[in-house]
Amino acid sequence: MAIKADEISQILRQQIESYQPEVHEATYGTVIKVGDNIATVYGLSEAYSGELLKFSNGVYGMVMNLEEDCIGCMVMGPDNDIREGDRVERTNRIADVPVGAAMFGRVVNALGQPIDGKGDIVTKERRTIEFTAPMVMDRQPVAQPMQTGLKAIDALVPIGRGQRELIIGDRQTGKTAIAIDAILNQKDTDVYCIYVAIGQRANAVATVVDTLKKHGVMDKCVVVAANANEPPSLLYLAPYTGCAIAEDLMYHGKHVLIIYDDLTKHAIAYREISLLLRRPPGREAFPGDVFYLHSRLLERSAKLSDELGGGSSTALPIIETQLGDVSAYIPTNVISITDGQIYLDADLFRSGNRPAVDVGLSVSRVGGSAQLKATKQVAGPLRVDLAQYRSLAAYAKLSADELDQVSRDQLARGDRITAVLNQKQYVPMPVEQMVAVLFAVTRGYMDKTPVSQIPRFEKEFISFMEHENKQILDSIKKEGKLDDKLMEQLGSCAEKFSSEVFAIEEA
Amino acid sequence: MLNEALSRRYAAAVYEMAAEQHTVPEILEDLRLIHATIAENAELKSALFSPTLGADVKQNIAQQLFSKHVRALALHFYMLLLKKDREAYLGDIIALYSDQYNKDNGILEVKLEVAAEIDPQLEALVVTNLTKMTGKRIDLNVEVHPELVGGAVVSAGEHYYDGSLKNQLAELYKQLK
Repeated sequence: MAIKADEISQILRQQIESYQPEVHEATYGTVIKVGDNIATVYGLSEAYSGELLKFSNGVYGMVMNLEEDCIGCMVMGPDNDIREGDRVERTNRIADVPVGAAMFGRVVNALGQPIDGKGDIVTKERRTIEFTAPMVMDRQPVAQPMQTGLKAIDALVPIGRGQRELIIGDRQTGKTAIAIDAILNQKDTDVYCIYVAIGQRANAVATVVDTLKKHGVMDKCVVVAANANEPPSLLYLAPYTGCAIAEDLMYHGKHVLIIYDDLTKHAIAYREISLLLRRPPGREAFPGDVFYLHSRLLERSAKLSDELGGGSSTALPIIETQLGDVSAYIPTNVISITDGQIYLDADLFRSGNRPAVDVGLSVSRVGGSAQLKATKQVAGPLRVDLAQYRSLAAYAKLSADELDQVSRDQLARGDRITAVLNQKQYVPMPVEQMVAVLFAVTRGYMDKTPVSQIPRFEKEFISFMEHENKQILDSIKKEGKLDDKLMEQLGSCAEKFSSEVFAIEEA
Repeated sequence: MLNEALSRRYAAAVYEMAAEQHTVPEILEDLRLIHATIAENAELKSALFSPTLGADVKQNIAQQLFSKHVRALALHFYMLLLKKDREAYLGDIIALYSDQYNKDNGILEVKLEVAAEIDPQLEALVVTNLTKMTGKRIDLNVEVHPELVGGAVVSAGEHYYDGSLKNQLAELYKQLK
């Protein structure tokens, strides 16, 4: 259908006729110098820190430094057509981003603008990217589990809703994989997910989005991406943008899981900005307020009190270490801010333990009280068994022949537990299945199975439980804990499976 | 501004002394005279700004040239600038000095940009309205910029009101785009 030229000119005429001339009122300063996405602006003596400034090419900037006779400003976009002497106007507002239901399923940049080619985000709800963290009385202790679907984590370093749990490890140790699995596991829960990609390759972000789509969770996810090619100002803003989106949901009584992937690159971007703004460098050339940079971000994740709706925002920040050095500046900072860390070990990863969680170095400071009772019951002996196994394994390397039977049993148990804790990517395990499997291994029902057969045992045991003893799994799921009767039933199932079903198959 | 922090300190010092002697507007005039003389005379400027001439030579020149025309305070101040190698800052210092003078006397310097010459009646109306708006004495400078097409731009310090036709057309263009 062609639109008549008459019609178009009619509309244009109407627009021109109805145009209301307005006097443009503003306060302005002048660009003294610009480069590397940092502009020095003369004037604007009344501008406040964090305020948005508008450059004459339409790009916005953020006030970072207030000096005696000029302003240091971070340019949030291309700076190549900003010239010396250009006017810079005050906007009297601080940066905000669109939030709310319209964001789900979308990929946005650090300013909340869509970059997924699906058109504009139509919403009136906006939220400032910086916001004060909830006060002490606005919070309540973490008590509800946030299941990741990973045995190694849910059993040993449980995460609760409202917790901040750091994922830390060298490059290529499966940090992002854990985060993505945790998101996938929220498919049938009431938890919304936000994935913030900071300084990553656009290709890697596309892969994540694709995975989320493929597993049908993208509808309850928002991806905030500030890719490696973008100016450091956007990398710096991205986590706060993601946090604002999460916070809006949290204050509406919803539950959110937010991933910051990763805060090392965030700190590096901030270092770049700070050095260009001529702020004094400190340790590792990071500015003095790099701790505050992350603490003010992570403190905004919380479990709110019931008066405030009881919403929660669980944060999984990611930190990349160099050669396992957790005592570097940024890792120690973030470790001290978070409620625990999941440490991924490169050697474990290379030897085939995936997820490569180092159980000894990983802790969850508040998750214990949030762990599901049933998981706690079966995972209780796990930590002790593993600890004994590790100390013994180190000793056994020297003289394996001289070990007594008890030690050999412990070693065998440890091998099997380690095998059970391995898990493939993108297959999060429902909690009731996890309880059954962990029950079987900690109670010794797998002791007779060769280690190489453990994955098959696990798979078939789950299938056996699902098909023939569904009611047990259902009641674990429903009750959330194992009473004596359930324990007994589970025991007899495991016994039956290991001695009859699995043994017959093997024969 | 070359270095506002630096200029502000010199300006504040000379302003305070002038205020003590009750000669603030006179000293402003004298400083402007010195500045204008140097700006208009290229030879003098190159001598006073020359890096090869010592401060004492420059001071001698200034002494002979200005001692009969300006007050002692203004001359002494300029001598100090020469001694400290700050002669290039005089323009900035005068601007800040006059800012302070305006502030203390409730005067607001306003720039009115228009597309064509306006009649004095209209100018008086602008002044009256601005006085009503700000409660200050208005020192109006009118500039003609034909590229504004029509309307006017009023600016005072960092604030400006753009009611020019040029801006409105640009806004309309943005809306239609």
